[in-house]
Amino acid sequence: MIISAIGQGFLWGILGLGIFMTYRILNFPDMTTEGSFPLGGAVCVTAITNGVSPIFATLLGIVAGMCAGFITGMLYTKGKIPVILAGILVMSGLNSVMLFIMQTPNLSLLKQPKIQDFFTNLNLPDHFDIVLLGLIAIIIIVGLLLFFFFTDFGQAYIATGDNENMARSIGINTDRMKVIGLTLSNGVIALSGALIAQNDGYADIGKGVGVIVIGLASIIIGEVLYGEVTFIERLVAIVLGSIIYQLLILVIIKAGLDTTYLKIFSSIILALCLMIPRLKEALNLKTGLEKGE
Amino acid sequence: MNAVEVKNASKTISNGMNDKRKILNNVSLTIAPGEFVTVLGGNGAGKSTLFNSISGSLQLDNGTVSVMGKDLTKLSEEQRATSIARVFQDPKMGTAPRLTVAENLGLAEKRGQKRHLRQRQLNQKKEMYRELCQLIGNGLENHLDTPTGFLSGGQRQALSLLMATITKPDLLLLDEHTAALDPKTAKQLMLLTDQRIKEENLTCLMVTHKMEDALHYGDRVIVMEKGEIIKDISGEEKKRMTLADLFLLFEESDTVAEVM
Repeated sequence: MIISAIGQGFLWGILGLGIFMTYRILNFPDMTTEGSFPLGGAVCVTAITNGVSPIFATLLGIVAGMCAGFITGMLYTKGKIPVILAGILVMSGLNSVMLFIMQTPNLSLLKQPKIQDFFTNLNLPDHFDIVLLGLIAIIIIVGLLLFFFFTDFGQAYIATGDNENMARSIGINTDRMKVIGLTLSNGVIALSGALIAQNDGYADIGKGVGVIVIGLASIIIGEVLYGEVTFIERLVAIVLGSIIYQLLILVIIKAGLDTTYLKIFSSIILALCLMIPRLKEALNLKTGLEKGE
Repeated sequence: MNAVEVKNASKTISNGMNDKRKILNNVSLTIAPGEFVTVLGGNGAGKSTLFNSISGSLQLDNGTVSVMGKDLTKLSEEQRATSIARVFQDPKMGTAPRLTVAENLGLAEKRGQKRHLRQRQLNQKKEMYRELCQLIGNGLENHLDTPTGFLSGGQRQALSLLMATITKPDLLLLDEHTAALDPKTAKQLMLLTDQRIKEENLTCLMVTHKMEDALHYGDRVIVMEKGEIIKDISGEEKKRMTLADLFLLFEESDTVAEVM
């Protein structure tokens, strides 16, 4: 169970990394997430059932997510629609897109190849294939993000979220940065959706509900535990936050609470984590994991 | 060739119902290369409007703006950044708070250039940035790796000035950039500004409320009122001018602004 939770933590950690690109760097929550996440799964599963290889199907899922992010970006920058509303519009519209792609609200991968099948020959113990898959994906994404953020282009992207006025005054096309950010971020989110759909063995149009809460929880838990750290540590903290979140959920399930109502526990966990800085201040508590004290 | 040429610039805003006001009325202004011009005027005189229409954050209803012979009228703010650098009044506006001093300088160094997917090579440049920061003399060179959000207002404005002048702009716009600082820091920054402008032979347009600064610095003073330039003093006349003369001009325009 714990191994499975860690594997899940890696896969959901990718979602956290995707959300981080907008929520923490550009400073707004992107609601497209709840549409691009199941979209990635839907496109990937449909492609696999039509005979496409799992790796290529996963790539198709990423591209679909990027398209969704691109549309949100255009609505936001060119259409001047507030970014939350633009995201909600795309998220809502994607329900129909997914129905059109899958032709059914959910689609199973029963007896179909999946991306984690590549590890079957390794004769790993149960659930270790997912841990390995998640780890590889995380290393690739973290590596790409690190490369990206430390290029001249990536620095301009960070400046856009940090101080838009200043960014424009030194010649950064901030609208373009936002569109690119939303596009890339939703690509990463869709990758997470595609991998989780393959791990679960099915895609469902309802899978996006509440995923933004899970992604934000990874980011916030990571930040609460590690505080002010370097950029690479922040990315790793998100993945750890995601694993911790999955373990918390496991505890809730083990405690015998009704999993039908899982989403409210997700929300409570996130709400508590968001309040921890305030609570720590009020009660003068320490988590014991802060650096340099 | 003129460094800056504003021709027949007009801007009308409607505040409320059917109440239209010309905040910039057919203003024309030319600035020679290397000239340092200060702009005085009361609130609502049109200084900011003139500034923002040159920088591109405001589009004119009529008229044209060109810098070094290049027509900028239809270009966006970020496109104009190739020729124009600015320092804002608010210390928070000129720098990215979560990025370090060196990172901010690195960003500014790429003004007007394409930003590629290439490593930023910050470490190789740090020595140069350190020397640049030493010019200021407020200890900024020891904080190259400090996020600018932790700097004092004075340090941030000094950094903004360095960022605006790290690549030589065709025009430097200073928008009351010392207004938010205490008198001593403001004076230091003004001296540094003057020094940078002279060293780099920059063309500069500076809005200020401090008449002493308009008197002591710059080659030319422009006084604005009701969206028009009512006085343009340069050369010997500017050199002979006293604080009392300036006060008189400024007081006049101020009362008019209040009556409006």
